[in-house]
Amino acid sequence: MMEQQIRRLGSAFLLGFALLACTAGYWQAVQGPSLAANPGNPRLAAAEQRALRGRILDRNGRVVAETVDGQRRAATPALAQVLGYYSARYGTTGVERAYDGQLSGRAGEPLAARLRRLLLGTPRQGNDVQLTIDTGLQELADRALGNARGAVVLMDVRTGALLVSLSKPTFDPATVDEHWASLSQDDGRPLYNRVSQGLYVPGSTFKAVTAAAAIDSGLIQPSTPVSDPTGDVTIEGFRITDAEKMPRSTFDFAHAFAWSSNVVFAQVGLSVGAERLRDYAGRFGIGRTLPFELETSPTSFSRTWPMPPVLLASTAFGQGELLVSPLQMAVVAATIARDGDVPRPYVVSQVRMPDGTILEQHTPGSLGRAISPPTAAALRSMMALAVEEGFAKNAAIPGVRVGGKTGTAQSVPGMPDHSWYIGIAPVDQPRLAIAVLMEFSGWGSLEAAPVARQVMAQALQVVR
Amino acid sequence: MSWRGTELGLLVLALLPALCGALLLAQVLERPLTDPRFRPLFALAGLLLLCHVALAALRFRGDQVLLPLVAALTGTGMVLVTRLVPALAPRQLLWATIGSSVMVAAAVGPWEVRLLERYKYSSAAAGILLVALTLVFGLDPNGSGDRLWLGTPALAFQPSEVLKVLLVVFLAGYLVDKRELLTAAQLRLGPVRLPPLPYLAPLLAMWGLSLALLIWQKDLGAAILFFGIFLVMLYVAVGQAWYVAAGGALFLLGSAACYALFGHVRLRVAIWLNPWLEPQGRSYQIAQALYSLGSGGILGAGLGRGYPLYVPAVHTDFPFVAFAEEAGLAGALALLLLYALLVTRGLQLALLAQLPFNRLLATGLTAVLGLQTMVIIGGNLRVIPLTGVTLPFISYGGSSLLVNFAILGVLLRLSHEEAVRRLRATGSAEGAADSVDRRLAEPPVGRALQPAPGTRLGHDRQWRMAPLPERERGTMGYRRWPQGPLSPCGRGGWG
Repeated sequence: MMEQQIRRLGSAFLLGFALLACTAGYWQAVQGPSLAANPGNPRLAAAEQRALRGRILDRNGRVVAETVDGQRRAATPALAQVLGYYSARYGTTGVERAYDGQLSGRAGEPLAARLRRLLLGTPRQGNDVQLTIDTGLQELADRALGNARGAVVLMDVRTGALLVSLSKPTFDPATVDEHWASLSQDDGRPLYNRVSQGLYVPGSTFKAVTAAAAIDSGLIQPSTPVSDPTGDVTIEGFRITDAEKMPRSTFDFAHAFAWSSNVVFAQVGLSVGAERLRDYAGRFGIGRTLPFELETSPTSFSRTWPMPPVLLASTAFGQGELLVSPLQMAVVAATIARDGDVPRPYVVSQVRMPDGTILEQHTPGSLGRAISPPTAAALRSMMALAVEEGFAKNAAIPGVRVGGKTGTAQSVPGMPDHSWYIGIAPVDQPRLAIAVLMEFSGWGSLEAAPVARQVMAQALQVVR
Repeated sequence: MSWRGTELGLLVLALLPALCGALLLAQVLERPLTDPRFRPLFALAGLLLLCHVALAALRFRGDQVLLPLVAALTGTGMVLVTRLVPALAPRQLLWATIGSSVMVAAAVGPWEVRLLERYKYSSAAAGILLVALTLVFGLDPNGSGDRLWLGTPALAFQPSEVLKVLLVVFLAGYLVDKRELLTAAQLRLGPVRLPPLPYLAPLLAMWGLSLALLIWQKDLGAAILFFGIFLVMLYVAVGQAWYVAAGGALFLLGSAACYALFGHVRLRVAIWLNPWLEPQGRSYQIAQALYSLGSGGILGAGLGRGYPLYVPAVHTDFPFVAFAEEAGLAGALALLLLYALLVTRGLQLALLAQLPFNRLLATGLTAVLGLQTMVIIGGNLRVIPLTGVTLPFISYGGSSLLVNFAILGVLLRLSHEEAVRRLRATGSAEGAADSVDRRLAEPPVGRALQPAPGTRLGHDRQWRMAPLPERERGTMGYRRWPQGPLSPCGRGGWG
């Protein structure tokens, strides 16, 4: 009685439930990922909010990048290339990328906390990243460069920490998504970090390396007399000239450095030899990729090997096939300041959990020894001379003994030269080293040096 | 005192998910377990255990699986309410308390299920009256636009919930009563045999009237449910498979008519067909539900960690989706399994029942639970358009909870009566001591169930479902039949 019907009804119900199960499987497993990622899904924004990406702070604890209403904002465009942009569509750069694991909370989590979080399905809490950059100095450097394109790098020589790492033109990291088309096609290439990615001919600033190589090899001393009577020399049929006429026709090597004599340095370079010069350049980091948290391009000593004498000569005074970055030249200056020990540059000092617990602490490091302390001392005195009597006068700061070297690098035929300056201060117990590059701006002494003066003067007040 | 060890064991197992849910929520919300918001959940667990104790103490001998199944579902429902709208949890507990009291009272009270057969016409009348009342005095306490509630804004209940039970009672009684008459072929339309109109007509009238009223009230979910219940019970009682086909055709006809006539039907169908047309507008609810499902994935977002509240009215209309988002496909499948087990168990009880009325009633009540579950989950998953029915035992809703517990009480009562019959048949001394059980031995009411002349009273062997010879298949199991002009003996029956 009704038994068969009831059984059939039961089967029908089971069939119905099975159908519902398959439908649930369809929506949750098959369509799940696309539904979850669908832009109409309010969970995306809510989860971003909840996930709380960590903040980035500057040297003084000021927040310079944070997530507000689901969007990543930067305090100032001057920090754009250091911070990098954080875009769902176009990727991440800068510190946002280098420390993405820590900022998103994926890395650096103590095991116990991680297990607890996995068990409960709690969203990750991002960690805060503290930079070595001083925002005030960075913005000052930004203003000092004006409309020029270029870079300013300021380093604490005692640790290798960068107080300023400015690349111009800048942009606003928060609006990268909206302005991607114009930003990526802008011929000023604002998305590029000139500090560590930009490669330029160093010009006369490289003379510091040549001088270091020569003095360290014992070939020459600052006091060694040299002569440059005509302002030119011919090597294997190729005529090399000084950029400016020398005040005297004979002087010592120190003044050859201060007055940036291409003729003297071409000959010094020839006597140092290609192998040795390349070797010393390599010790400073040239020809390799500097270890650095942000995107870095490998620098280059020369493309041609073995080097014909003309190439060696022009390399010795800063042309040739040399390609260096502003960061690299700052490292050169800092090495000279540190008695010949090459510092390891860095921008991130600490990673902290929101409650203040320190997850990572950067300890200053060294990349090796480039030159001996006496050599370094000799270089420092020559650099001081360059500021006192030489072409780097515009970098002088009242009341402080500053050392530096200008550079005016040939850029592209028909375009003005690139304007360079590297410097250290105070010369006797150096605290800071700086490198300034201004693209297509002309004389280093006229353009880059004054910028360095402004930044260095302020920095000496700030950094004890 | 009866030892109900299986029930106790299963009950403890069934309450574990709810307790784990409380633990998880406590961690996620970072509150201690003693926080007031968890009290309704623990109280519910205690309440259900108390029901078990009451059943055992009152010598209940019925099914031991139903209560744990319902406990698992109700517990899950309470966890969901605690997670979604904690302020409503105490009210859910209140209705669960009332419901479970009614359930226990129905299970062990001094009555018999077959008594309901007497009140079939009263049930029908009461049902129609309720619907009429709602038409006139209906309230809309939730502001949803449909006036489907009766009572006061503070304490309102949905008559359609009671109505479906009344319908089942009426149908069970009527169909059993008129069963042989309905199956006697009086009209032939080619290969098809129609039951005699005088007996079919009242059925159709009753059914048509309730449908019309429901559709007028825009309670589409209840209309679908009623249609389904009617069809199911008719099929089970009379056994003609073509009824299902005819019913399906009628359903399509009726749906088309409704679609053509009513704007709100067209809207529901439009939203169902393409939820992405106006995802911020009118199909917002189902679009959000789909996002919710997808975001859950296979393992879920985690209890308290998903965003089910983006779905409007999630605790009443979409609790399945909320659970699926946070417990994932795994949780959704587990929930479906629980409901499937509930329906299966109910139908097994129906098969165990000896009296045809009991059998049909159990089938009908189980079908109510099953159909309602499938309609709402189907709507949640976009298999069918969304309707306003509740998910039994899980949705937030007092009248729903109360009526479903009452249904459970009747099913438990049925299983108890059958268990007692079996005990008595095996000559157990315990069974004889109970006064209620003694009354069970007396002949039941109703013309159709008169014992054949010559049989002995007080002995239930006649009601044993022994396998029958072929020619007596259609005799409802009775070896002897009051002879009369309408006797179906020898007519080849049905089936």
